[in-house]
Amino acid sequence: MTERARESGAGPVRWVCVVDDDEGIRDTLRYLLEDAGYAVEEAAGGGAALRLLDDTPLPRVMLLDRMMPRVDGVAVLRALAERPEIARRTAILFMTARSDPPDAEMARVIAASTIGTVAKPFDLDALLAAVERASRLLAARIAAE
Amino acid sequence: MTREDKALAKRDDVLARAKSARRGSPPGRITLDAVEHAGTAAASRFSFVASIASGDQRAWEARYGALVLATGQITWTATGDGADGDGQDWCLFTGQAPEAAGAWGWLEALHPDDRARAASAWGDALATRSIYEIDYRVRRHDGEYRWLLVRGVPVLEADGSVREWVGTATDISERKRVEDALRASETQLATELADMRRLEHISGQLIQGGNLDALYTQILDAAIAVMRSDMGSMQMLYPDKNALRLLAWKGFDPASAAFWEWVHVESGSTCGVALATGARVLAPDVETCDFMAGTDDLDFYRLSGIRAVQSTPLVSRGGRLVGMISTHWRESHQPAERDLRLLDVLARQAADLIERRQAEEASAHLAAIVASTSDAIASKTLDGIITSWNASAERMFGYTAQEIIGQSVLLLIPPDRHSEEDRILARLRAGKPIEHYETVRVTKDGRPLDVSLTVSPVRDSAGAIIGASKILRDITERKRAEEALRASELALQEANRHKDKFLGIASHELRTPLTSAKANIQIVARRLAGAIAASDGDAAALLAQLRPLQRLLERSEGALDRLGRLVDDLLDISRIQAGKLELRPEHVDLVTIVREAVEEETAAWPDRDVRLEGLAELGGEALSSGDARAPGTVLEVEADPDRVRQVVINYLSNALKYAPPDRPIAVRVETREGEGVARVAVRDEGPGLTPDQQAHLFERFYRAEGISHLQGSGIGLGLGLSICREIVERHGGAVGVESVPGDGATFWFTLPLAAGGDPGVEGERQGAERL
Repeated sequence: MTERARESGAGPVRWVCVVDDDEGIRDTLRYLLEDAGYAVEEAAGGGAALRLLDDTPLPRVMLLDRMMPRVDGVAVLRALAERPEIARRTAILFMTARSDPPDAEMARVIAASTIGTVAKPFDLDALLAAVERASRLLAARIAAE
Repeated sequence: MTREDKALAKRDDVLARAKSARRGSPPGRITLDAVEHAGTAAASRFSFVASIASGDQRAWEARYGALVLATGQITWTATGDGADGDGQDWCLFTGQAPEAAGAWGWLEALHPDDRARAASAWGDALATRSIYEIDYRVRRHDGEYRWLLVRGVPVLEADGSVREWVGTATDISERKRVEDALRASETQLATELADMRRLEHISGQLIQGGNLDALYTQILDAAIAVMRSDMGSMQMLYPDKNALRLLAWKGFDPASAAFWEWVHVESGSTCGVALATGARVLAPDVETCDFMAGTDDLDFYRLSGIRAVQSTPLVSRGGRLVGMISTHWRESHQPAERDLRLLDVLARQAADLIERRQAEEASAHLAAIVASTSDAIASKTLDGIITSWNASAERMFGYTAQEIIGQSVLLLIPPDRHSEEDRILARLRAGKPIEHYETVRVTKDGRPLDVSLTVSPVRDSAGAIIGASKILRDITERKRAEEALRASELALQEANRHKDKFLGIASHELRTPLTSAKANIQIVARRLAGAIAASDGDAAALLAQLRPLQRLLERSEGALDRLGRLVDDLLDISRIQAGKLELRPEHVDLVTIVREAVEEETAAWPDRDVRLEGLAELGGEALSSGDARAPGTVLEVEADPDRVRQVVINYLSNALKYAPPDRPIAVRVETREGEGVARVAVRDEGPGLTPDQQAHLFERFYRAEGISHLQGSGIGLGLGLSICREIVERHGGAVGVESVPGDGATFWFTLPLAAGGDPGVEGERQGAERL
C-alpha cells in the first residue's frame, strides 16, 4: 500500500485486495494494480482474506480466486453472505481458471455475491477495466446509503 | 335198428344176391332173394320191386333200369381175381356195353382224374382181399358225371381164397354237392372268422397303444385282406389344408406314392372325390371311370398297375372326417357288400387311431414344451395344492415332482408373502384375471429366488375353474444383470465426475502458471516501454526502472517450468492410456539414481531436512542430503534411470508439498533379501492418509480430499502417483503406501534386483550387494 494510494481515497474506491494462493499471480497483480494507482493488499487464502476484511473495515474491491486450499473462494462468498455489513462495502470480482462450470448452488452464491467473474488467463487491460468498473459501482453504492 | 343190425342186414343182402348171381338167376330173382333176407324195415322198398316182378320181363327191366337210375343204387359182382363178373346195373347206369365194362374196362367210364386212384384202390383190394371202398366220378349214360360211392366185399372160400366179390355203387352226387357247399360255406366262415379276429386284434392293439406307424400298417394289411385287394393306402386329413396326407401305403410304385403324398379335393383320384363328397367312392375299372379320364391320377394308377380302386372316408365317432382308407386291385373289381361292411368296421377303428394320433401329437407337442422349457411350470388346485411339476421346476426349486405334488404351494412362498397366495387364490376363484408380476419364491434349500410369475386358470370341460397353472421364470440372473448394469452406470457416472473434476483442476493448474507468465510478460513489456520513455537517456534511472523486471521474468520462467511439468504428466498419461509408455532399461545403480534425484529436488528447497538413509547396512556410512556423494554403495537394477528418477522426485515432491516444513523427510534405500528386490521408501511426518485414501491414491485422477499443501506449490493434476505405479509395475516392481492418519506416510516402491552379468548366478548378485 503506497502513500499515493492512500491520498486518492476520495472518489472511486482505490483499495484492492488480491486473494490468490499463487504467489506469482499475487505479485503480478500487485505490480499491475499499483501501476494503475490502486492500493493493493494481498491474502494467500480465504481465511486470511476474511480476517483482513474484518480487521480493516474499508470499502474495497476484492479479486477473489475460486480455487484455493482450505478456505476457497466460494467459502469466502458464503461467509460474507452472513456478514452483510462487510459485504456492503466490498465489491468482489471472482477469478477462476477452471473449465468446469460450478454446480447450481455454487453458481447461485457466486451470482448473488459478486459483481463479475474474470477468467484466467486474463488480459491486463480487461482486468483493469473490470476493477475500475467495480470500484465505481461500489462508490455509487456507498454514496447511495 | 342199430348200426350192427344194419350192417348184418346189408351183409345178408349182399350174400343172398351173390348166391343168386352164382346160380345165374336174373337180376329180378336176386332182388327177390334179397327181399327174403332183408330185415322188415327194408321191406317196403323191395316190396315195390316184388310187385313189379310179376309183370312182363321187358317192362320190369325198363322199370328196374329207371329205378337204378333214379336211386343210383347199383349192385355188382366180380370173380375173385376181378377179371369177370356181373355188371348189368353198371352198364345200365353208364351206358357202357357189357363187354366194354369187363375186366378193367369199367375204368373208361370214370372221370379221367379219378381213374388212377380207382384202379389203385381196386388193385389193393384184390391183392389184400380186403373190403374195397372208394368214391369217384362216373360218366352217366347221359354224359353227366355223377359221384358214386362204391363198396365191394370179398366172399371167401373155406381155404381163405376169394370166391367172388359182391358190391354196390351208390350215387352220392347230391351228398357231395351239399358237402361241397358246406365246405365252401365253412371256408367262408373261416375267412370271416379270420377277418373278425384280425379286427379284434387291431382293436386290442389300438387299446394297448404302441407304435402308431406299426398300427397303420396293420390296419392297412387288414383292409387289404378284408377287401381281397392287391394294394392299399391310408391317409390323414389336414383340415387347415383341406388335403389328405399319405400315412401308409402298400404295393404302389414309389413314384405313385410320392405323387399321392398330398391329395387335394380337386384330385382325379377316388380319395380326392371321396374327400370332396364325404362318401365312399368306387372305381371298379379306372379305365372307364369318367372322373379319372385325362387326369395325372390315372397315369399314376396305371404306373402302379391299379385297375380298380375304392376309397372309404374315415369318420370319427364325433362325425368328423379325419382321413381315408383305400384299396386297389390289379384287375377290374366290384367289391362285395360284405367286404365293404367289414371295411367300414375297420375304417371306424382307423378313424379312432388317427384321431388319437392327432390328440397325442397335440398333447405330445404341449408336453414337449412343458418338459423342455427353461421355465418352471406347475399347476395347483384352488386350495393351493400342487398337482403337476415339470423338470425345470425341479431344477429351479430343488424339489422333485414326487416330493412336491400333493403339497401346498405355500412351501415355495416366503412366509412374509403368504398373503400374496391368498390373494391369488381368491382372484382365481372369483374368475378374475391375474396380471403377470415379479415376486420372490424360495427353493428347497431356503434360497430366495427372484421370479417372474404368470398365473392362468385351469378349467374343466364344463368351463368351471378347478385350479391354476403357474409359469415361473427365474429372473435372478436378470436382476443380477440389472444390478450390475446399475453399478456400472454408477461407476461410469463416478468416473465421469472424476474426469470432469480432473479437467476442472487441470485447467486451473495449467492456466494459473500461464496467467502468471502471461501477465508478467505483459507488465514487463509495459514497464520497459514506460522506463525507456521516462529515462530520457539517463542510464542509471533506466537501470533502476529495469531491475524489478528481472524478478517478474524469473517468476514467469518458474511458471512456465511448472506448466512444462504438467504437460509432461499429461503426455505420460496419454502414452500410458495408449499403451505407448516407453522404457529404456539399462544396468544402473539405484543408489546413484536416488541420490541424484534427492539432490535435484531438494535444491529448490534448501531449508528442508531431507535425509538419505538405509545404505549404512550396505556400505557402512550413514548418508544425509548433505553427504550424498558417499562412495562405494551400489545397488544394481535393470531400469530406465530417467523414469525411476521421475518416481523418486514425485514421491519426494509430494512429501515436500504436503508435510510440515519443519519436519524431516527420510528417503531410505534397502534390499529385501527374501524377495530379491530393492526398496525405496519416502517417509514424511505429514497429516497421513485414511485407509480409503490409501486404497485409491495410486488411481488415475484420484485426489485425496481435504489435504492441505504448501501454498503456492500448486496441487498438481492428481496423475503423478498413477504414473509412478505404471512405471514401477512396468519394471516388474510394486508400489504402496503405509500410513496412520495424523502420523505421516511412507510411500515406497520396489524394483527387482539385477542378476549381474550372469542372471543365473545368485552369489554374484549377493556379492554386488556387499560392496
